[in-house]
Amino acid sequence: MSKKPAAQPTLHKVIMVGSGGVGKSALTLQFMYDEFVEDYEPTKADSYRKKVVLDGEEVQIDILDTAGQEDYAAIRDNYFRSGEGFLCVFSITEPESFDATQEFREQILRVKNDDNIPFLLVGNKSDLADKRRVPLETCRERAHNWQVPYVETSAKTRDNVDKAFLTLIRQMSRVKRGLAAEEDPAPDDAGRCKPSCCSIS
Amino acid sequence: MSEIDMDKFAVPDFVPERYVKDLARSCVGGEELQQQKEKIQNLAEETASALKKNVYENYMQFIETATEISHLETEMYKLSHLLSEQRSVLTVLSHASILGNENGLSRESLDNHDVEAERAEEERKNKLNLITEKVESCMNLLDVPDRTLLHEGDLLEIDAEENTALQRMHVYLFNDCLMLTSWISNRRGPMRYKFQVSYPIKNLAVVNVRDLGTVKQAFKVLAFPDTRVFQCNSFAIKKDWLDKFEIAKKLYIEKENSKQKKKDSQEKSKSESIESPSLSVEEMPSPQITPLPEWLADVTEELDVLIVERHFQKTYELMVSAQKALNTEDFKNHPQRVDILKKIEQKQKSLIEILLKDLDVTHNWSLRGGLQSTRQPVLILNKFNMTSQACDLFLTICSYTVKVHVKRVQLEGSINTYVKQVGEVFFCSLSDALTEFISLFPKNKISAFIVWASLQLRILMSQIIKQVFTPQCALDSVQDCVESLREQCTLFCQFGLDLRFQLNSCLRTPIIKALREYKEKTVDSMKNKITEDKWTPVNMHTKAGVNKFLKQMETLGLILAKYVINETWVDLSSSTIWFTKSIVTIQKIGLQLVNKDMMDNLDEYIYTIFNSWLVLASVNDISYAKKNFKFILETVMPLMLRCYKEEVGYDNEKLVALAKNYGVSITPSKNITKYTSNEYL
Repeated sequence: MSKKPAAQPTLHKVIMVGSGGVGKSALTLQFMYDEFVEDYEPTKADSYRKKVVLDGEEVQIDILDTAGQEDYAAIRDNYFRSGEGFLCVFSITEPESFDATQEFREQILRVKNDDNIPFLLVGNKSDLADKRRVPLETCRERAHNWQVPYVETSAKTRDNVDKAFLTLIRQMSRVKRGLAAEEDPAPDDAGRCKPSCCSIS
Repeated sequence: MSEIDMDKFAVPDFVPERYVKDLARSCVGGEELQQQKEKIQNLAEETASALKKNVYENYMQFIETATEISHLETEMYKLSHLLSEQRSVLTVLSHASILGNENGLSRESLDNHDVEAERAEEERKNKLNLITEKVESCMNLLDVPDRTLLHEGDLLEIDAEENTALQRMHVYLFNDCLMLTSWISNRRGPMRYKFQVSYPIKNLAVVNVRDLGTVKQAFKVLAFPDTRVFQCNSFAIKKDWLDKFEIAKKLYIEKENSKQKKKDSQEKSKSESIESPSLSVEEMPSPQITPLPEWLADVTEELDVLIVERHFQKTYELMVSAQKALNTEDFKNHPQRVDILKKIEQKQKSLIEILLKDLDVTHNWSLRGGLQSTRQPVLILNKFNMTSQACDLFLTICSYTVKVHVKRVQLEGSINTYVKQVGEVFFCSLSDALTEFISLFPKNKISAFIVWASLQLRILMSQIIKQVFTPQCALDSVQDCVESLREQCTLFCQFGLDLRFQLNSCLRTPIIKALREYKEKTVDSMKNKITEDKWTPVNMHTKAGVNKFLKQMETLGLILAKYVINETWVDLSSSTIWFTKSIVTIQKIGLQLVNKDMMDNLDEYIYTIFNSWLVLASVNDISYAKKNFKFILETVMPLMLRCYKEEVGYDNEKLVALAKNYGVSITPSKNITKYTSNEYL
């Protein structure tokens, strides 16, 4: 079919998780096609692929946009197994979705059986600051507890969308580039701290 | 060269022309040639006869083999039937014991719509078997009891990493798994696809591929650790697949949920039951709940085993004792009691089903075991209060045996022997059935047997009547048949069941019909006989002929020795002899055949025949004819009247009136017990 390139760029498999209606698909579509879809239609499970240049290196990113409404945890496991990095999304206007991130986190850790799995906590709908119901401090605290970066995004305004994805991909490629963690733990730690420092409210 | 060398003929390249040429060359003179020719001719005849014999022998062997084969075939068929039945019993049992608690709802509906479900089940199996035939080294599709095909289709597999086409696949989606098969490129035979892998639904995640560079209309199947990407030919096909996956997932979740629920409730009850004994251990005396004895706890498993091993009697006994034990004070409040009782009830249902099946003649009933083989199932069914069903089935079996037995009697030789044999066989089977019936069923069921027996008799009679009461059948053989049947029926009365009334009512119409036909035939041919009569004595040609004639007449009650003249002549005209025979025969046989309610018909027929004869014969003026007329009036008529009275006890009034019309004086018959020969001499 398509011509076969000599060497395919590295493929990073990202999974979008989070409760229904927090904006996983909106983030994905914004990242993929620079567009914002107003109509809401629950996702079942969609996948996208995109080539991005990350720090001068071309990589492929495979995004699996999962269903927030998935009613059966065992089915969710099957999706999570294939993921190499997770964007755990909640809506800052919806405390329930924030609470649910705890559960997602636990499930991912259980399924992947790896505490250092690339993971990003994303507070979406930052454009709706006036309706904010989850305080920024609470979000940061949770991210800190989990030792993961926290990013606040707006799929509507495209605010921090690329940043959220790219931060995760960077983490993933670092992990993949060899389990450098043991030899050189410094960059890892730096990676961990850095995003949390740059996170913008 | 005088002897013929047989081997020469057997050579494959034997050429007759050359052989004849050689023969002609070597033989000297015509005579030797002639001899050779004769020898060859003999040889040919011998060979022909040998060949015939061989063919015949082979033929017999062939027939024997064929019957043997057909026997074997039926045996095999029966065996396979038995095996399949066993199999279904096993699957039912395994279903009941392993998954039985799991979907009580579907089981219940299964009971309700048994037939429908069975048909659906059959269809499902066929479908799966068809798939199995198509797929090389396919997994066993039938091992999961309720597996159904949701969707199948051709898909193109795409390399998940490199977006390049990999291979053509044929994919089957079942309710519990996804089976991937690849195309066999150079296929031979029915196999079209080669089994690759199957993923259970529960480990499967399906992803709609929205964007994969150049690859359109694709979806992904995640089955850790595999990720498979498939491309469809059109958007509609992809949508179809995704919808079907959704359905499969929903079904799975539903099943899982109900399983979970059941498990929860079970665990609850289990934990309760576990709690109680543990409590009793901790707190020492616990008088309320004694643990179940082992045999009672395992009773359902034991019942399963017994049913499979077909120890039905034991199964029943165990059921009863288990039920009894559970209803005693000791276990009245036991937590497992209700559960076990329910299970026993289930087993009872399946046992009854098996027993009913055993008794079902349409299902798999073999004549070989005889009626005795029904005893056990019937007795157990009786105990389950299923007497009526058992009775129905038993009688159906009896009908079947009667039918088979009667069919085995072959129509060989005369109709009389056939009817006699059929009657014997029929009433024997009937008595067998009756004795068996009495021993098996309570007294109040006997009416069912009587109804059944009279129905059987009617069926049999309708068959016999078709064969016996034909226009070709002579009146005396009809009489023989009827008599033998009546005799058998009377014998059967010894068993306490009198079917004579039923028998006679069946025979009434055909008997009247036979007599009427006889009358019509006689009246029809009467005119011819009279006009063709030369009104001279009849020459019997030989003495033996005369004797034969005399003997014949004697059996009819006439001693005609004095009519013999010149040793071989009988001094009666041919039509007179014919009429005498006809009229006496119909009265004699008629009186044997008819019952009281048919006397009127018989009287009328006799009268009609006699009257039409007298009308026709009286016009004749030839003196010899007058002499014959007188013979009829004075000898035959009184004989008829007398015989009638002797047989029935009163006069045939119609005939008496006729006799008076023609001026025959009727001798007072008081002192006559048997007409003596002198009277007619």
